[in-house]
Amino acid sequence: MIGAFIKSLRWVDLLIYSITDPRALYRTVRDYKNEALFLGPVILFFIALAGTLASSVLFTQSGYFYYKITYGLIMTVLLYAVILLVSASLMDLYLQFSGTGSDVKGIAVVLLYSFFPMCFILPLTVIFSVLNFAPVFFYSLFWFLVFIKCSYNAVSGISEIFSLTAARAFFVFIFPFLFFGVSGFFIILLMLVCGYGYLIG
Amino acid sequence: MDKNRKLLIAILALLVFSVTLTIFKIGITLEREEKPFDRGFRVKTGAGVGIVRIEGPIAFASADGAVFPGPGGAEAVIRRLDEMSRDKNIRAIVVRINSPGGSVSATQEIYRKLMSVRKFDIPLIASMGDVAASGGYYVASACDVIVTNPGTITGSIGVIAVSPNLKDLFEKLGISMNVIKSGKYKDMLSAYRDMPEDERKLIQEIIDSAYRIFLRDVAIGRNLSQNDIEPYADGRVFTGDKAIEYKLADQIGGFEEALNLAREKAGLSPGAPVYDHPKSALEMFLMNISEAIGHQKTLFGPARKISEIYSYPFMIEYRLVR
Repeated sequence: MIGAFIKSLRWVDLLIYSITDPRALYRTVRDYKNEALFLGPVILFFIALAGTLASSVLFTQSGYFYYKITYGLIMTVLLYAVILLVSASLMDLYLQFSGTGSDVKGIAVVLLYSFFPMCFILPLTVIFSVLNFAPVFFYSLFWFLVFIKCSYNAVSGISEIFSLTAARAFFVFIFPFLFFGVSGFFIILLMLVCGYGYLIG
Repeated sequence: MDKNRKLLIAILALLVFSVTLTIFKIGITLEREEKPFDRGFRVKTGAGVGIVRIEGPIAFASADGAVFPGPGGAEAVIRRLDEMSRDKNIRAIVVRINSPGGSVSATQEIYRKLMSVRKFDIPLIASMGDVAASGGYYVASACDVIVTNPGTITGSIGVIAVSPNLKDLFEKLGISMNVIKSGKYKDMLSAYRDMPEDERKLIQEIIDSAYRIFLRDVAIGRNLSQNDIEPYADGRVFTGDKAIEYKLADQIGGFEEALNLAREKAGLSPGAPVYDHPKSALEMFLMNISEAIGHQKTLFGPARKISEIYSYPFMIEYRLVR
């Protein structure tokens, strides 16, 4: 099944739609969720590789670079995979609570392919790094712009899966950020209160 | 081929190209950081020795045909010295010289800058490469200590102005010049006519004046009297070991010995980091191209020399004549 998916070159469409047409991306994903998810580690690897190299090309590298590009890259891929699964699960949780529906696999695939354009940070950054023309500024700028594009892809995909308005799809997308932000805030608050109590007690 | 497939191939090619370029660029900088004298310093931090490189003829202008014109030559050297004198991590400076000399003003400006850096109590060590003659030696004399290789060509303390006399050639070719000038001496050192005695006298005065400044500055830099230097300051060149004999250099050694001496003078540990001039990948790439093109100039040998002199008749130089 997976071999047939690779041979059929449907994955080419997935990658192209992640750049050109996010809604068409989900329409394609809908029929090939398992196969598309199978290619996930490859996509994550490319995103992690591009991100690691783009941040490394900005500064003179020491011998530590060898660790960064081997063990560091593996750790980054694993970290991205965890973030992807946790985010997809939290979005699905919110959607279930709000009675919209549930499709955690669909969300994970859409998020995965939506963030494929993050690979383009590398070619965009490397030009300015080689020319030595404000590379850090352009890296930050391109990272921000590409992240907005990827977020737009993800919001469009979520909107397509659950037939949501753009505003609601956006809220679903930022839900994991809000969840971790609010949880983090309360955890820090709790720690401060406990610390203060411990110090004056 | 399907349009999407073509697009994806283009995207993948772009990604592969950028990955290759990035690894190439990182590879260059990694290699530069691991030169023999840097070994053991993966990440450079803390107090160390700064390097200033003076290579080739000394002049203000940047290299001919520079793609991105910016401060080049003497200006770049002065700027680097200025940055290093203000950097708290730089406790000593090694000035690596591999130069046959250059224009009077550019040489004097570097000399003065080095003398001002000396006032900051930063030990300055000159390390001579293949050649540190004339202006190259002038600059070295501003350092606290001069380390030279036994076979380094140095000395050539003197000033020179060269102008060809192409009058006969011009006549033979039937070329005559139309000169409209505001004063008698406006076309001094012109190649299309003989040099009259009064012009020669004027040029000689300039040469003598520049020579006296050269002699005085070397004497100040080396803590010697002008009488000590004068016997060897007749334009002669000599090797590094002779320079030590004449008290114009202090010790025999290469770049590594100079670095160790700098560390010792600054009270740094033997493993203290070395801050060399970083070059971007593009700079190195363009330098290689420009060198490759430079070796293939259409004019060569005497013809090029005549062309240079004719273009800049007023080049009065502290330079070893080649």
